Amino acid sequence: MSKYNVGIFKNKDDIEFIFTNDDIINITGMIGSGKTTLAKRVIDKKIINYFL
Amino acid sequence: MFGFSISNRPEEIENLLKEMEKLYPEMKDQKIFKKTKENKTVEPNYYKYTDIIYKYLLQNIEQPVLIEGRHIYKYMNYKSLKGKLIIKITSLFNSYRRALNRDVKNMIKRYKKKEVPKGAILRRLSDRIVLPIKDYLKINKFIIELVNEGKVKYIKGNNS
Repeated sequence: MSKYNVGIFKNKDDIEFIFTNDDIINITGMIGSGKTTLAKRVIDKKIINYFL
Repeated sequence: MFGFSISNRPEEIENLLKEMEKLYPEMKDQKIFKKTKENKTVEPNYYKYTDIIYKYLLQNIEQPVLIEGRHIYKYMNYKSLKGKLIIKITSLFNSYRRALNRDVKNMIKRYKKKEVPKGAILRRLSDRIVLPIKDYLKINKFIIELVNEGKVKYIKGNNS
């Protein structure tokens, strides 16, 4: 599973992702904090099916 | 909620949206979310439909799934969130830089193509000056609520 239940991260710190088959990850935050960048990085590693 | 522009949305998401429009015909083409001269108060719709869309997605999409967007803290009740939550914060400076780069520069490009009048750039600029501050206050309120509820189990970095 992902390492954190609720994680608060400043700027573009690396976050370790380990998914289970039924994981749901929500990313939220301020403009320019790197939400989409992080999501795309996860997608690039092909460790998740959908990015919404 | 969708991390894709209309032009590059995957087929699965397009199909999902079409199915959803059958259940909620008023959401067709997302017109109820667009501010117009006739319909200036669209914000209540964001609160109403964000929860509906979120629940629908989780029921109808294969998991694991990653959902990202500011809607989560702006329009959703965090109690209805499923799974893990990652909150990303940044400095107001970064926030302004990103907002200006993304939106005001786009508007200038459109002005150069004569798609919008000069006033549109100034209007967008004034919108964007206010937006990061509002976001900053809302995200901090959201974090304080989570901390008070004992939901935050791990904090990395400085969340001031």
